[in-house]
Amino acid sequence: MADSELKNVKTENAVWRIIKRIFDIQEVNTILPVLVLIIIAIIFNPMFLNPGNLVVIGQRMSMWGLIAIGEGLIILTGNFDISVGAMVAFDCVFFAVAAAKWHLPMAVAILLAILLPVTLSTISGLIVVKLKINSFLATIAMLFICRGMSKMMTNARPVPIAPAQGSELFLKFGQATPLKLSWTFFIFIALIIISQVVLKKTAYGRKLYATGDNNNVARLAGISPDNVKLSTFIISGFLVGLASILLIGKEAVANANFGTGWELQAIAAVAIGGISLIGGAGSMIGVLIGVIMMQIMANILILLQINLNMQSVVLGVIMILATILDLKRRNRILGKID
Amino acid sequence: MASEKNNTQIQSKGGLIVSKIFAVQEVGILIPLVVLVLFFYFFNHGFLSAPNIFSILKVMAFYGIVGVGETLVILGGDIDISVGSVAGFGAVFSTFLMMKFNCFGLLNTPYEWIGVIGFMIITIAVCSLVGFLNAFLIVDMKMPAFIVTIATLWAVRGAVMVVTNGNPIYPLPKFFMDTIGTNAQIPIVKVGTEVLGISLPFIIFILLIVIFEILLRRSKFGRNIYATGSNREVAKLAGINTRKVRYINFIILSMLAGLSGMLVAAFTRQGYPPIGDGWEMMIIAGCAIGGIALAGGYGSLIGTLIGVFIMNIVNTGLVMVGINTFLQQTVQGIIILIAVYADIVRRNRKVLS
Repeated sequence: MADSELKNVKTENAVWRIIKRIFDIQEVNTILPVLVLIIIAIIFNPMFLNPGNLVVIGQRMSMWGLIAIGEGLIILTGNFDISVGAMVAFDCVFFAVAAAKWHLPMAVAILLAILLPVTLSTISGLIVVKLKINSFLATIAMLFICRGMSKMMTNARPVPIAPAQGSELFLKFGQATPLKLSWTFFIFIALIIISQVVLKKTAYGRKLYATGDNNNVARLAGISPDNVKLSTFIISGFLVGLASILLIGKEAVANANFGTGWELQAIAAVAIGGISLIGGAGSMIGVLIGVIMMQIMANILILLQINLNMQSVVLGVIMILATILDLKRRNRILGKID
Repeated sequence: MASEKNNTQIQSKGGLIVSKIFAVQEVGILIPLVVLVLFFYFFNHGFLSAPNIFSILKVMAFYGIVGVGETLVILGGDIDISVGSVAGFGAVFSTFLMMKFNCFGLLNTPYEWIGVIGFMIITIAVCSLVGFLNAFLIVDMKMPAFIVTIATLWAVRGAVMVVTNGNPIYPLPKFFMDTIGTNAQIPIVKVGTEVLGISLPFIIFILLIVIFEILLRRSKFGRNIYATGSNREVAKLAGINTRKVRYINFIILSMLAGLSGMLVAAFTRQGYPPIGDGWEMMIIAGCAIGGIALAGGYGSLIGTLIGVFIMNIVNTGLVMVGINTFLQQTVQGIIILIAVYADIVRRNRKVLS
């Protein structure tokens, strides 16, 4: 009798401990607001649970979510890249022009469309790392450059990709709906998982955290912070290229105002997902949650027929709240510094 | 013989003065300014025509007024990129109130100006709250200035768009459009039927430059800003209330941004919600070109004046030379990069010497 009671208490304690441990995991804290958001959405508009709506959320988020992965890596090392949205536009335009106007073979056009943002991003990275220019200023310059180039190449008119050879196969892939979703969605999820594993299980991942946490300590530990930072820019450039190609595949035209505001969405998603905007902490699962949350929020604003501009107000407030929470969390871990 | 010696002395004295003049940093920035003006003049002689010169002076004043505040913030070691949104907010908020309350019911009466001025003051007060919020989050909550001001940039712009639905606010009170806007100028020349002159924003801009330049060089207020910007810890140890200095900087900047937005609204005769879009980069680039160290603590308002001037000359000049309008953004981006890099080179040279 007494024995079984003791056992009961023990299991209760164990259960409680497990629950506590679950809540200690940072990502769980970020899931809670998502659940709250979903419940609010269902209460106000049951249409939210409509499979069609969920599919739309999945498709929409995966496109700019790819950008958010790269942005997350850059922010993890303590930098920013706000040119990603403009780079998507430039790359889409470049791709469409290369394929449809210069009549390059599809494979070559795709290769160039990957190389272009990688090059641009590498330049931003080099400017930040070698010239020690603040990443915000360097990438806003890149933003201007890319937007200007994409507008110039299109004369602000949409460029269809259709006349290019091999475009049918390409569009078939881009507009395919496996499991009613899109290939982009699966690529996004796969990349999230891969980058999470890389961050948590490899030496490279630990280098990223170390560099973001304390540049000088990382250097003393034998890490080259410059190379690590540059590598995040290169990866981000690759992801921009990938997103641009997939975006063209879906839309079939390139437009100079593609990607407007993606950088802000990506940064906000990264911040919501718990990657510290000061660098050095966070995970890719967090980014995934942040991306989902942002897309659900946008969806709710549409379902509730709230002014779309409200989104940027909400974004700003969320970013400040996320940073305050992050600072609080850090102070709790490190003890109060000031 | 003696006179010859005297001569060489005078000559070397002259040489000394010349080299001294060139050692002043602001003169160094004047050179690209002159080169740019000559360059644009070479391609389009209309560049130095009276209407163009006066229009450049008018437009640069809108940026310049905000630039004065931004210079203070940067000198104090911070940065604020929410200024464009605050300018848009000032433009829309003031015009919205004026039309909503009919200028205290004085609309279209001779006392209209009381309502206009009243609401302008109220708007500046409300704008100062944005600066206060920025300062609170950055100074007291110890959040990075970039993140805080990006967030307020979106939040304020979003609020403006939500309230107006993106539609401009018009018509506006006559006093606001005419007396503060188009008619407020010191006439200089008459071209055809049009009288050209120095506009009110430019007068305000120059007054602000003079006042704050004197304050920066000659007063405790100015020295405290430089001290705070060059080394905050040392300034604190020296007994300077750095918290107060930074608060005041942010508040002044937001007030000036609101003022500038209202002036744009007065000149364009409507409260247009996108007013101020992208200003932050023009202004920060102007400061950087003008030799304000982006890390804080070094630079002067004369530099800002020249920097803002250069940015505007490039903007107008590219149009007049006939470069593709879409390419201008690209050129602006490259100029920002060059300016910031020049800032870094300059700082390194200063440290080395």
